[in-house]
Amino acid sequence: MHRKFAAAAIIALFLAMLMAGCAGVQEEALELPPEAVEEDLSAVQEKEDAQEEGIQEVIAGLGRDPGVQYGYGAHPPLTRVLETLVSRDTELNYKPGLAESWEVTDDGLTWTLMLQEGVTFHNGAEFDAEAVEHNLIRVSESSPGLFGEIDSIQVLGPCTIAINHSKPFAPFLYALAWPGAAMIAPEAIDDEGNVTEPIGTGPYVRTEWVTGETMVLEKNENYWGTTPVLQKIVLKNIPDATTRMLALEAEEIDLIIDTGGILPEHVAMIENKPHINLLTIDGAVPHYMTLNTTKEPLNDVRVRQAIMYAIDPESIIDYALEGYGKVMTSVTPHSEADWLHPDNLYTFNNQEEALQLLQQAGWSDTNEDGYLDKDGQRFTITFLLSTALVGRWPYMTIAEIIQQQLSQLGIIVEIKIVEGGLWSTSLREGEADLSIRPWAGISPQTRLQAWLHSEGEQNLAMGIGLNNQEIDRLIDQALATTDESAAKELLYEVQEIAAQEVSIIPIYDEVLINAVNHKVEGYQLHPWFHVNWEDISVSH
Amino acid sequence: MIAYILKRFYLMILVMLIVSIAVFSIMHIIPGDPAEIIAKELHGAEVSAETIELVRHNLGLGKAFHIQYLNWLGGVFQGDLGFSFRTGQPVYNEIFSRLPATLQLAIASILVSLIISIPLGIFSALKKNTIIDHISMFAALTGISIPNFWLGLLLILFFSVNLGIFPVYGYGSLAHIVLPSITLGTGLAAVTTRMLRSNMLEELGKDYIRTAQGKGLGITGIARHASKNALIPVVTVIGLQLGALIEGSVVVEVVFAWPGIGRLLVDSIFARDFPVIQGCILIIAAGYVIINLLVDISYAYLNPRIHYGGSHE
Repeated sequence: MHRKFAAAAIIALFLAMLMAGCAGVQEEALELPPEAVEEDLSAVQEKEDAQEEGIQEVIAGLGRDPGVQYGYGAHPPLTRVLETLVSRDTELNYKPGLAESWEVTDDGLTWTLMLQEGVTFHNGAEFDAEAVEHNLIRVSESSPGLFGEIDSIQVLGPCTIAINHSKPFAPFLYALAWPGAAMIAPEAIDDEGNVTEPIGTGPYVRTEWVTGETMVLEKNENYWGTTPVLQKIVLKNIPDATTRMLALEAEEIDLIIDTGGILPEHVAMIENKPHINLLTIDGAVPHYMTLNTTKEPLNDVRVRQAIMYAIDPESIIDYALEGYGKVMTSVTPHSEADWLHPDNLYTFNNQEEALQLLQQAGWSDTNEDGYLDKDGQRFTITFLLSTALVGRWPYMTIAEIIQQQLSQLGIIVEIKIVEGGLWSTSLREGEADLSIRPWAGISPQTRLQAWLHSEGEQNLAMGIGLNNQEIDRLIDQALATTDESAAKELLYEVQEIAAQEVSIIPIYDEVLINAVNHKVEGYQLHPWFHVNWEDISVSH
Repeated sequence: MIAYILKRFYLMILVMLIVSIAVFSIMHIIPGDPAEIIAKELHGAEVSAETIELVRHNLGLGKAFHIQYLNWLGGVFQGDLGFSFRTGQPVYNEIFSRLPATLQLAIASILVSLIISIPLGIFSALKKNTIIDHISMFAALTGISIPNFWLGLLLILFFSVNLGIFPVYGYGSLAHIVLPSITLGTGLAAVTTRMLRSNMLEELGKDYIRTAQGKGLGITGIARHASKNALIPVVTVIGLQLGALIEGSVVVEVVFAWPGIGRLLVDSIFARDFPVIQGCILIIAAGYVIINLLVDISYAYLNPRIHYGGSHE
């Protein structure tokens, strides 16, 4: 008997030592990065006390780490630690950011930016034309072509900078507004162009970051713009969407932010709760289904058109998205309304037309087994999904609806879900027939370039392989022209041809869903899920 | 005994070497280009082919497989598990800053499972084929069958949202650990309860118990004698449950936003963060091997009738 208890005690001791050992290691590690643990033990309690005392503080939940993307340690629009030269309002119009104003020469080659005066980085260094130069070089090295073909950059004064292009690049302002082009203190950029610390100019300073878990933002007292109200913001990565909702319901968090923050199927859970306000906005995140135009059977344009006719995006939005989506009419999304072709270019849900086209392409059910065949081969295609995307959007349901809609024509769709890395490799090599992904994009011009140009980044990466000389010519022309209305005409034409080629099918425009506790005031949901932290306050 | 422990120790190192080769190979055999993924993680979706090549070069991903392995293994022996592709932090820090959270959860879950299973197992064996026995076995079956994530969410809904007793998610205080450890512990308890019950039944049928009964020993006395022996195999089961615990903690840590290595592993797999995946699996395997060694040693101690190999100690 005693021996047994002794043994049990020994095991317990071993476990305790193991723990203690690790705890010791962890304390050592504490000196290096800001460490996990202890942080949120009483974060909720602290926050409640703070709110009672009238201190402005919130906890926000989201489904990812707001520090990882872009490699900056702080997602610019989600944290407001880093700012861009140009920004976009909730209608996506340009508004001044760190650049107070800008002008471009008539030939479209030279852009001159007038910077805000008296702006300092969080480390006290001055934000000036040289810092801008440093950042523009950094970003154009990691994302070649983002700013067009830059010939030279001239610092004309402490707050004036000119960028000379070797040929006109109309979407330059869009590129400046891209979060990846955020301005970071040159001291926080190493020799290889990597950002070591997010030292920016924004209304908030990142004071703590535990990767994968928590980020703490504190008010920048020296902010050049509107002084923020919230003293402290805690961003919590709560990976499970249901837990996020329950945390909001139990008032442990005050807001759920970000795209994919709330899944459509969860809206019913909070719709009628008096202490929660649901926010929605038409987002700038279109979702495209891609078709592999390089191999049988989708290399035949008639077959691709037949697939377009067979699909019914409305039923997808109803069933998979609970109505939180918009049917698209062209490759260009609704958020780029100025550039969107006025006509309804894509025709959906017309089975007769689809069957006729398939017959013309030589596909019919000769052996009457219910499936189409040609030369003894059944019409079978694969729909490849990525695990990384399936977790944030209801792609599995969408693929199943499409599978069912195509099966009515006698087409067999095999759905495969693979891990994200394998997904991109398989697509690039053209191994799949269909896939789907979201794409926020940078500008209307570069969107069409990326997806429809034969050398377009997405056209290649997604294994679409569209090669239409006419589209290439029109896009090249549109990118180089300085006349915006001429560019629009050219891109209208591109959209028309694209709807005939059907190399991609726009499935839906996302409606963003966020929610806040009723005490949170001033949050305005942005189509690009930027958070206007400096306007937000808590009522007591 | 010492010879036995030494022998087991050498075996342990051999096992760990094989594990390390397996772990390192798998990540390189599966298709997909790590350099491309990392470049995208670091620089956003719009990366050029040059950036991808630069990443490949900087991280040594272009070198021959065995060179990459030996470099990595050499580092491991010096306590250097490399740097996370995702965060740039040393893998060692990434893992060891999260290990305490996972260990706390594991120990709390084992405690929960013992608190449930010991009385239940003993009692249902003593009251074999009564309604109490049936109910507890039904409960055990239910415990095995309920998926962790679902039970976790139900517990949150009831105890956190409706009653407001425990926090919904997070880590730090004693209150935070209650729901996750119940979620994990009930599944474990189910297995232990069934095991303990059948051990008890076996012991109750043995001669020494019958003798004790003959001498007029009461039910509590019998239970005490039988449970001493019936509990020995439970120690083994607890050791073996470490695997189930890690598997379960991957899910439970996601549901409760618990900052442990289960979640680190999931995040790293999605991001193809090779050094962290390798480090996590290596640490988990090491934990597994060590606990099994401890279990075997404690077993020798618990039951002196068991001898290991050789005739002398």
